[in-house]
Amino acid sequence: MQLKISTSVAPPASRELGTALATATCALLGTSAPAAAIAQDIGQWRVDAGGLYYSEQHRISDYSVNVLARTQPLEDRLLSFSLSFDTLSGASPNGAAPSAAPQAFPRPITLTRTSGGTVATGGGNFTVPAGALPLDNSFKDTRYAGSVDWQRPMGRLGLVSFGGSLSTEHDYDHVGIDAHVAHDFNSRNTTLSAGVEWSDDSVTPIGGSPIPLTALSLNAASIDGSRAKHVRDALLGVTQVFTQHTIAQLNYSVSHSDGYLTDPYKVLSVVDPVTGNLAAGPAAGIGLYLYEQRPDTRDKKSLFGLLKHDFGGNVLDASLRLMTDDWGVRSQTLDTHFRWNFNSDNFLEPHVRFYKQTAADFYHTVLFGGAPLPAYATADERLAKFDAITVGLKYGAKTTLGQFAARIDLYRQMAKPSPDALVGSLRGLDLTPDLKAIVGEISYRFGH
Amino acid sequence: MHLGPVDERTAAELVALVAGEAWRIEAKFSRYRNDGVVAAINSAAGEPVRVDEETARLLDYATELFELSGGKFDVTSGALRRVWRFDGSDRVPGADEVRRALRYVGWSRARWQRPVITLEPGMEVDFGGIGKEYAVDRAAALVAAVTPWCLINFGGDLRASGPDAAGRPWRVGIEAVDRPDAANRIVELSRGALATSGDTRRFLVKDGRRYGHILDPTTGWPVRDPPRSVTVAADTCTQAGMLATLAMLYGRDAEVFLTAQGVRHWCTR
Amino acid sequence: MRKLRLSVLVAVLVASAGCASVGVKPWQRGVLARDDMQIVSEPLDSSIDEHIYFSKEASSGGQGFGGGGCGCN
Repeated sequence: MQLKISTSVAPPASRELGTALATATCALLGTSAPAAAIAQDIGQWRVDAGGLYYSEQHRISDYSVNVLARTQPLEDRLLSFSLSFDTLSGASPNGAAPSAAPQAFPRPITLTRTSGGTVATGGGNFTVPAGALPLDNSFKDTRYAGSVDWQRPMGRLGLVSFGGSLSTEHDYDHVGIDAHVAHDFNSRNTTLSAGVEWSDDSVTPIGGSPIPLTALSLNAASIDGSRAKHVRDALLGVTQVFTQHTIAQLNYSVSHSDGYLTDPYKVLSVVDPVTGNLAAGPAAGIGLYLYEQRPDTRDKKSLFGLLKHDFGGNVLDASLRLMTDDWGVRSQTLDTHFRWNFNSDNFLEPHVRFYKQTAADFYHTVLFGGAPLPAYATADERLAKFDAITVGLKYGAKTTLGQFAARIDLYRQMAKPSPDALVGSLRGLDLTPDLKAIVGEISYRFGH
Repeated sequence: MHLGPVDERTAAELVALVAGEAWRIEAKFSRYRNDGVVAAINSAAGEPVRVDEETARLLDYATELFELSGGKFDVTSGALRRVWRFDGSDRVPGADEVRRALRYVGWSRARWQRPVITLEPGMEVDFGGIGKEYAVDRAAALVAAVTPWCLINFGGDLRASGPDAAGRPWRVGIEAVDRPDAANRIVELSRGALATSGDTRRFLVKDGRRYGHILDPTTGWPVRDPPRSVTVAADTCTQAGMLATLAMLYGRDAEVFLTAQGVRHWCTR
Repeated sequence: MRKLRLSVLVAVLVASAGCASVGVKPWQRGVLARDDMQIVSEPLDSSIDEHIYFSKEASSGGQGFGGGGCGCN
């Protein structure tokens, strides 16, 4: 709307016109003055902005700002984009297991490019007390990510969308594109959808990528340069309206990754199969830790089902996801939210999520000295057998500009070590301490 | 018509009520019919015609609007249709033709002495500029007596007596000017009316110049530089429609006019 | 196991696609049109959570694409 203000040509007696018009209309309709009109413009934009605080007990913390914007240039065109900015810091497990004796880890010398020039950091050791889970606290990174999506109709009952995404951090870059189509059937009660995504990622490990299954040492040989990783995903889904209050979705997706899938910073401890003590490493005072090695392909299949039901103005949202992959991991995720709209402007939403996964075939909490080296091995707790539970609460309130929300989620991951790892001195130790994290988010939605 | 929760029988009754009122007004005041009040007035050939209470009120309203708008709103402007046919072609009438048609235009030439109206031969009245919005308000009043949650929509002119049953405002899309089937803007209407005036569908184009279908009865020519579309929110549909039409008649100054009225409006140029 | 799961899935997809009698009329979509009844009602939270769980667990995606694009898994 263009508003042009030009006082020199203002129509005469404008306010009197308004009153006179109102009076004349009342006379015409034979009614007394009606109640005042309430009409509110909804802009074409919807923006969701949120600040997130994520913190693991004794481990990493993340602060991030996220923005999602959506605009409808015309009723049936949708342009969305997102931007996010994260900073991570803190300590992250390096894969080595706790030991009955204190441990020391060499910190490889790395060259970091900063605004002042190239700076050498690292070198020296960091030590871990007896019984503690080794954490490498040189973990610090900043990540920028963005994505764009454009959606338009396809025929009268369908739509198609194309999108792209980019992200960059210290040692990792990502570029991806995706496409989706959807078609409505059955008076728009059933929607079939399909989508594909391509990603090309590039890892440039600090200090180069280590040679897998070789010992961690100050001067460990490594391969300089970037390593590539490609991911291809495909998804098929059906969404069905069952009643005026119930809608559900079922999706089947497959994902194929190939390239450098190993974590270049993680190691496995090598221990004596009888005593459980750390084997001696290449340098004095340092134990034997081998860099991990994962396969260079991974295929995942997931089945996802979601149900949303309205109970007199409140909504129950429950989903179940079953995943299996060729690394031997099988997982089940049950995620539920209950949106309790206790009045027309506010809501409370409790959240409970249960997660369970089996360990990857090549997950070993520790490796044993004297045994033949496996082809693949990792002690990364993300590939261990664990259960996780999330409990949270979200509060939302409508405001003049949109909606404000705040939420807290508490996450706890309870892993189990490989059954054969509990030998000798390791038996008395907590090899896989629980991960406890808190998620706090404050967000604002502008527009509709 | 959108209703909140009512039982099926009440819903059926309300639909019959609204449709009945709409058809009644159409039958009585449409210029396309030869059996209504308008036909009786327009075929009187200079003789006085006695009208009923409802028609009298519409003619009083027309008089009031004629004066308030400085002659820009004129129910006798229909005679200009004899030379202006907005069919998307380039057949623009010449100045002489328009001057000849103007001889039959002008509410000041009509003699309205309640309840008798006398037009000069060749003149005609046309309630097209008020009829639809009036019908919406009448229908809304009939429904409001039965249920509070209702939105009446007659081809883009709307009246809501209140929000929907959930207390939420009705969402209305305002047409995008270059794509007649896609809405460009969403407005939340809790109460009141919306009416739209625009040239999206009826116009002439000649030598690159677009002639909108809103004619200025004082000149006989289309208003210069009107907005492509004006939507106004007001307490009643009649007022909204009137303000939208007047805004179009002010052409270049449409937005100034509406701002001065202090009504919510959306103009597209 | 995998073959059984796949055939169950195909059967369900075909059956639901053929459910011509299940559903609602266009004027009955008032509740379904509410923001909190959309399949993805909180896209910001969903994408934040997806990113968190992707970096801490071995699974990802399911509802949409795995996102990923970070060096955290």
